[in-house]
Amino acid sequence: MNTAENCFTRTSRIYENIRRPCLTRHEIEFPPASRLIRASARLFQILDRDEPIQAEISRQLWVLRSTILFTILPFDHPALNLRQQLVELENACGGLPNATPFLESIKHEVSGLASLARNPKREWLLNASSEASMDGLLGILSALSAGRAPGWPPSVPDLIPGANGRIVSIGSRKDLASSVLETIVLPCACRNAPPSFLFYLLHCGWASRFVALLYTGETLHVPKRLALPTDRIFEGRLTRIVLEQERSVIATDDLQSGVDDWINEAFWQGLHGAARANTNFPDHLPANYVLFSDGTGAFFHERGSVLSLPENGVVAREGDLSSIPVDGIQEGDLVVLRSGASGLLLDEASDRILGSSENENLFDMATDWKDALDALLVTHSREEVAQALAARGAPTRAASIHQWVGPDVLGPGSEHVFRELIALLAEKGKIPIGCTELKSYTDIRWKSLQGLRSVRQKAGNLIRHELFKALFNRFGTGTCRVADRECIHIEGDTETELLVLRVSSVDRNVAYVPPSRIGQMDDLKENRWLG
Amino acid sequence: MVSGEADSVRHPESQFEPKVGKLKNLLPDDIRQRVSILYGDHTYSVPDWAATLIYLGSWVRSNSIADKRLIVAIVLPTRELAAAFAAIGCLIAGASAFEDALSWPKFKSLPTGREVFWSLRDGTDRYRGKILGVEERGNSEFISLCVSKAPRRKVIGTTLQINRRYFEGYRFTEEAPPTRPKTELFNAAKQALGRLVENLNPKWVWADGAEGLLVTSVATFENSIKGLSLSIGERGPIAISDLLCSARNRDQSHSKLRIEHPRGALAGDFPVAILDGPNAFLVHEHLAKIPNLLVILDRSEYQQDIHDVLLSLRSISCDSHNDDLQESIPGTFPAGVEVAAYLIDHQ
Repeated sequence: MNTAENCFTRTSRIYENIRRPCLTRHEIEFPPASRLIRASARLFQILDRDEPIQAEISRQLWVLRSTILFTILPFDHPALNLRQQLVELENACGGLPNATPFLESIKHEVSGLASLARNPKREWLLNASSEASMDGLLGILSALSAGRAPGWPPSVPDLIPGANGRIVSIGSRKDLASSVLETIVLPCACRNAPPSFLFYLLHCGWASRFVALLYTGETLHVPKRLALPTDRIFEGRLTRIVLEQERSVIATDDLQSGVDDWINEAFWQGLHGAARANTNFPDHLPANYVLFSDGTGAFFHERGSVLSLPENGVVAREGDLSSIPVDGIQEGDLVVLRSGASGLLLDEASDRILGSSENENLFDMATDWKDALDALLVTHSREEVAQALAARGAPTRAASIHQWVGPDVLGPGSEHVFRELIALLAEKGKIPIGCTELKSYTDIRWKSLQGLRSVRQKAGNLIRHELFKALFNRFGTGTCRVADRECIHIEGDTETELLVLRVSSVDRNVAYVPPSRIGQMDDLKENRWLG
Repeated sequence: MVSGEADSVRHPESQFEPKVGKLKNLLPDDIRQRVSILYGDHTYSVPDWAATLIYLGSWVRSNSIADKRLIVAIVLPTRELAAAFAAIGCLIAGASAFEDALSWPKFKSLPTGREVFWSLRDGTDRYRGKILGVEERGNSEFISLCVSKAPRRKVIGTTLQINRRYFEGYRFTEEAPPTRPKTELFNAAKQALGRLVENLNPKWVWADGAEGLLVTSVATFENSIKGLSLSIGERGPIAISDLLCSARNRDQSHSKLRIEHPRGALAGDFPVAILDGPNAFLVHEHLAKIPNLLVILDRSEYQQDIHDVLLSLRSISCDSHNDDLQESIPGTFPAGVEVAAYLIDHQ
């Protein structure tokens, strides 16, 4: 890589790479691995993964098999822990007599590999590294599964002697941001790699040459790219580029796909266990689960956003804090969250602003109608209230009624809906006012509600400013390296604690969860899916 | 009708008339020959991808067709710098197509209460006020203004009546005139673009109205162009950030390119909107007034939902103007630049 690489030269290199991209499937004839793939595939076939014990056996088997297929360490390396994994799998399969023949075969192969001080994928990599041009970097994909990839302890690139820093581990988009590479190596079939990241890696010009290291029986599927619908104006003038694919040996039957598809979903279910549809729980919210590198995780509303630090962690000005949509969160991002004890941050900041202004009763005036709505919900369901509002020309979701009565949402955002809601409450006798007073009552409440929203917005700005100050004090100089988890205290009245967390993996499939689970941090350090 | 220097009808193309006449020499190869890129101490020739993006920005801006919308989608390996180069193209085409126009009729048509800015023609004595109306007395027309800001305090709050005959003596705008440092930057941009646009009308850069709205993640965009300059012809380098003459859309300050976040204030009349990325693409439904759209996506962002929208656009697109639109298109595009354009009815 050119040391003077900047945004412009990096972009130019990307366009250079895109001219003739090539993917080589380098198939490695290594019988122990191939036999293991076959035996584990047979064992997976007889396991009932809806049954918890057998699902756990499937997980252990997948971890063991993936450790062998993913790793570039010598098979006898202690970090792989192959013997211990085998013992645990044997114990777990104790009550499954029909698993015995397959288990024996797996035992035979793994025992042999565990004493082997070599690894054919590693040897290929060392050879390629020594042959790479002097200024060329060799990247190797390490984001092989959500969470920690089996067979990949964090220090893997350091465990390759003689690479002289020319091998770069690629775990996220952030790792690509500063370097366009000569060659990127995929150390396995990447069936559990985050699909969007694999797509980005292969199709967006980060290298001109890709090499997939595959044992016989491993099958790599290149994610397909959508093409623009052809038009009649530019058609025929464009240079169509497809990823040229070469393979040294034709791969054998695909024995992997079933369990790999299962493991991708089972992993997230093992972490958060949330439903993928909201048919039974209409009030549940669509959310994406984010796993952090420190072993915690949380749901975020699908359409929400989070505050993010720049890639280098340097916070020199407020503009360095950016708000990113939840569906835009990427592996490696640094996001800023409040810790659990700081839930009243916005209220406290609002109180400070209200306390310093003349209108201390603004909150009561803006929200006193909530008691009336609460009273109405004693005799009417949320759905009935929503239907009544719809009949008045103000269509509303039942979930919104539930939110308005609570403290988290101030009230309807639409003035029309708000007026109809107050009119409905008056009509039902929950607000004791006559027709003549209704308009002025509603006017005052709506004005107060808007005033309170303005205060909330100012409070948000105040928090943002204080947050910036705290982050600037900590990271403003650029000398402090951001760890996977940082705790920051905001000085002042609130005693607020903030967390800066590095994103490890994101569940791109939407799950539906109760509102209370949004933003709630789960401690997953003991979770078996995280190893 | 009396011509005014500062004011103009921004987008005079009221019927199909591709404004490519002055752009014929600005195909990507020409841009590459006449422009170079500077970063730090390094000078680079303009690569074909950058020249093509400048060209596409100018192509979208140049082709205005009455009652039609031109929707152009570009899919690239990376979006980095793409919007900046496309925006430069948009400015080049806007400057090229600029025709000085008469301002009196436009001011007459502005609603009562609209805030306007004016100064003497030499830029001194700056005023701000609201239009009270236009009246005819005898054979003369007068525009009445309530002054809210003036060099002399005693003028504030008074009503000023300007005879149409003396209208030329002032420079009226709907946008706040730039500050002195910004004025210098705009002049530099004007001179730089003058090397690319034949007979560039010197009034263009000071005329009201932007050539486009760039919807993007503003901080990321600004960071990406930081340190990058262009050298056009024999002129010294000018920072891309200065060349764009940009301002946030929520500001009333004078600019030739409005830039705003997808969740920001997007209202306004523009000949082109550049939608940089999928979040920007989502706001296309709120930009129904803007005739031409240039959507920029990277390959990983071009997903099924956007594909479906483009398929539906293609199904309603018409080919009636294809010959005109294809007139100035180069024969080939560089590898990695994928483009499709759809011409649809503007409802």
